[in-house]
Amino acid sequence: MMKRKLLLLLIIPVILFSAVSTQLSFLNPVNGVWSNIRNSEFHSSTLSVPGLISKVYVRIDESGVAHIIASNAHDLFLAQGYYTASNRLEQIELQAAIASGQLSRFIGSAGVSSDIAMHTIGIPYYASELQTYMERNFPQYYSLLVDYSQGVNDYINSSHPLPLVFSLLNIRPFYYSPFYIFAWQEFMSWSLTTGAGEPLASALLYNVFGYSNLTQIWPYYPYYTQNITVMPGSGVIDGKSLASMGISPHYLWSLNWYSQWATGINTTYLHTLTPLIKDAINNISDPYEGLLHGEFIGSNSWIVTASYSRNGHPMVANDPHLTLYAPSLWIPMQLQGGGFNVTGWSLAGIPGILIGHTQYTSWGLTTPEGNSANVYLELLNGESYLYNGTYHPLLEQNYTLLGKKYTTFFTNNGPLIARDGNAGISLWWKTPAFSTDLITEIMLDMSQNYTQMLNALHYWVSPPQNFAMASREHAGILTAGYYPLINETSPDGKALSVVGSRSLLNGSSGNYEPSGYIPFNYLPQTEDPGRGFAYAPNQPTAGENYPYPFIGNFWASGGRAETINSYLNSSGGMSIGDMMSLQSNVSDYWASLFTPIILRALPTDGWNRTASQALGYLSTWNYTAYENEVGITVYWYFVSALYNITFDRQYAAYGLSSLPEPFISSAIYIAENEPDSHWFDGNFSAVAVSAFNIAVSLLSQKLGDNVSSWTWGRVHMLEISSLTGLAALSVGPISIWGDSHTVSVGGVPMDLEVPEPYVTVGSSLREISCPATGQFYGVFPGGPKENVLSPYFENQLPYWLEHRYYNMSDQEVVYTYVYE
Amino acid sequence: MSTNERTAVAFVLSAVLAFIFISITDYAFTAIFAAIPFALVSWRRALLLGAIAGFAVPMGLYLAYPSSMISRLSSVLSSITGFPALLILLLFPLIYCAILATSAPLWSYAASFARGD
Repeated sequence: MMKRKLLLLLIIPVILFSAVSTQLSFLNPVNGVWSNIRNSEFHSSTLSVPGLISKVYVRIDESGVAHIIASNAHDLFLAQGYYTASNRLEQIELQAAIASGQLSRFIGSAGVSSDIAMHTIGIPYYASELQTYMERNFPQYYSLLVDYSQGVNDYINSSHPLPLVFSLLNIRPFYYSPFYIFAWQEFMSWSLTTGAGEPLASALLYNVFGYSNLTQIWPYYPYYTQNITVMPGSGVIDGKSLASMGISPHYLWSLNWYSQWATGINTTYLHTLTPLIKDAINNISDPYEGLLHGEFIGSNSWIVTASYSRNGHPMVANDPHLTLYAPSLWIPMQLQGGGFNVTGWSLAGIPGILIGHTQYTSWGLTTPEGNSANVYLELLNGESYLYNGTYHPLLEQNYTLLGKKYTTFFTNNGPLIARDGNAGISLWWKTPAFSTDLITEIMLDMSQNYTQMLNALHYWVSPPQNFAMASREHAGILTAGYYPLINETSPDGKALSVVGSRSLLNGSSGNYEPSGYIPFNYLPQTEDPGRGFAYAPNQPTAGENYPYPFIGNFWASGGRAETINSYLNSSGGMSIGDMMSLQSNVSDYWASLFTPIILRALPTDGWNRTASQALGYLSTWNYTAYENEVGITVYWYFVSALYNITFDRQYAAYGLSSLPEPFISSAIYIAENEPDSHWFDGNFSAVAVSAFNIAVSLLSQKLGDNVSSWTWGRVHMLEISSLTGLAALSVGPISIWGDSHTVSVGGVPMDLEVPEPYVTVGSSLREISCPATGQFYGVFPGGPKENVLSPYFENQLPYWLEHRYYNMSDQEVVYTYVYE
Repeated sequence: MSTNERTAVAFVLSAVLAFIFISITDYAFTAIFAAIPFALVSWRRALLLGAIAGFAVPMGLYLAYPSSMISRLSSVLSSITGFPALLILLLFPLIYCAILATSAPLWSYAASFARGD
């Protein structure tokens, strides 16, 4: 009897412990999270990869770059998919889930808002359309995507341990397919597309501040950028210009492009739409897209012609600025075989090499910022929209999230991104449905000369990108992609086609719909420019006389372009070493203009000891943003305080704090030329004194009164975050150089915080090439593996932080895999 | 076979079964089956040796990994879950130990019932 009682007493804890243990299976020492340790290193070995025709060799060099060598294209891309999945499965699945609007399937209700944003923008829809388009029209290229996907799925089906997050969430990876490749392509495209949020923000600012105040802080062309366009000169291309069409550029750029004649919308009515516009901005601001896009997105590239190169051969440099993630969005590799021999950086989850070099050519990308999307005001009535005087039924796209049905409504212009009664805003972003960018990428990966590179760019659709290119003989930049043209008639009766708008366009009349695209031959471009160089760090692409005016431009301020222009121009000729030196430049051009103005505005005496010392550091500063500099700290906090008490305060008064602040070049221009502007409360000197006092007070409160210790590295730090958002999988914080305007960028917002918010955007890779001499150098702030335990997780980061490079043609192989 | 010999055989068999179950499945409740060999011994010995085998085998499996990696991963998991790193490391062995230690006397009783003791 006693034994039976004991038996019962023991059964209860066995059942209880067993029930609890099911939640702890991820801690199993063999198959749980610990198994990630086995996957943290490379090991030379032979692996069975179903679907290969022949053996594939994957050689890992000492810098962590994989050299994938196959005997045919099918095997090459299948192996690329397998290799990528074996090192980045967690990343590519998370990216695919986000982009395809399926995040909630994995993380539950926390992913719903992201999924709704993806469907509202139309990313899953356009990915599906593009998949059909490519499969039908370009089966030879589509098959490579199928091969890549098979490689990913081969890895999923293998017995290798699953990455950490799969173990923690106790989920299995889903099978990859070309649809997810296209979804991630569309997501990246959206993150670099101009023309959705920008005109909406611009319209809000216009409603609040009016035309003259707004153009003072947001001129069509940023101040000081007249002579630093991507395409050298005034904008004339192939003999065509505004002037040749009988249109005065001066007149055109003096017009109010927010007016009803330009947009089809009465400006009084536009004022009533402020809540709707705010809704639209909010609805397309997905939290993950926001992370990717970042606040300081930008990039650098430049080319040097044979005549300006010290070795007599063309060269190219590129460093695209993206949000830095651990692991990186990029994975470095060489693809060899089946007509390919290309080395560079692949976007993890997308086949091919997007930025890199062959033996004969090299190329890089930056964003040109002109509108490739547009936003339209729609007049609605129930389930119908007005178009050309007739109401048409809204089209519906239904989708289900966590068992609940959602619907996106479409007008002829695109998805409705906001609605308030009978008014709605639609997003015209249609080019992704036929965006054959992957064809461009594959053609570039096979290119052997400049003509073949130009031919490849015919297939690039969305988003438009500046391609900086060098072959063995030629170098140039071309802004490739589809810029939709809108027919306008200026107040003096001249007809012309423009790109984009400054505000919402009338979607009901049919008059403002895109009527075509800038013809390829008239895209901004330069080949072997006579001065010996060209550059494309997001500044205006073409001058004011360009025949297709970028009304929706929203270019970067041009500070990096000024530095690059000055360096290239004064060098008298460039070597590889000079290219590296320029890429590591941390001089702030705008600071060199603004600091003398600030110093003139501030009294030289009457300060307390700390302020006096701070002023001394500012007055002797050489405008560089190294970690050990004090001048940059004083300057940056002064400018932050200045913005805080001027622009930010006025934005906040109207609930517009989330909108982009005016460029620093606008502040400089106004301070220099219109110091009594209302933006500075009528007296720049007075606000400058206030700002300086605020900055010094804050810094001494947080860092102490010893001004010499106010080094930039104490307040300016980099964090490379995990796409999962888990801090434990992130890297940093690390003290870092640069600011928002330096070529080697380290952008931070102008917030009055000590330390500054972490730098999250930077050079996602650095590339310098001279194909004719076979010199290829590169580095990126990451490593090939996503496994946080791996020595190859961030193995290139130390070189990146020191502005050093790997010679990409001369690295010793340390591991070899055989796929068979 | 003496009692001590039976005890030794039961312990070794249980440890081998525990090793196999942990290696081929994720779940700790397989310790119930790893405890079957303790049917050969008294419930007191089963309880004690079951606890030892249940803790030692999963702990021993950590030896397959470099200790620095175990430490690093414990620390990462600690940051993610909020639990102390040592607890993260010990949690699976402890739960396995608890299940095996409580299951072992059950098998011992079951055997004694079968024998009509």
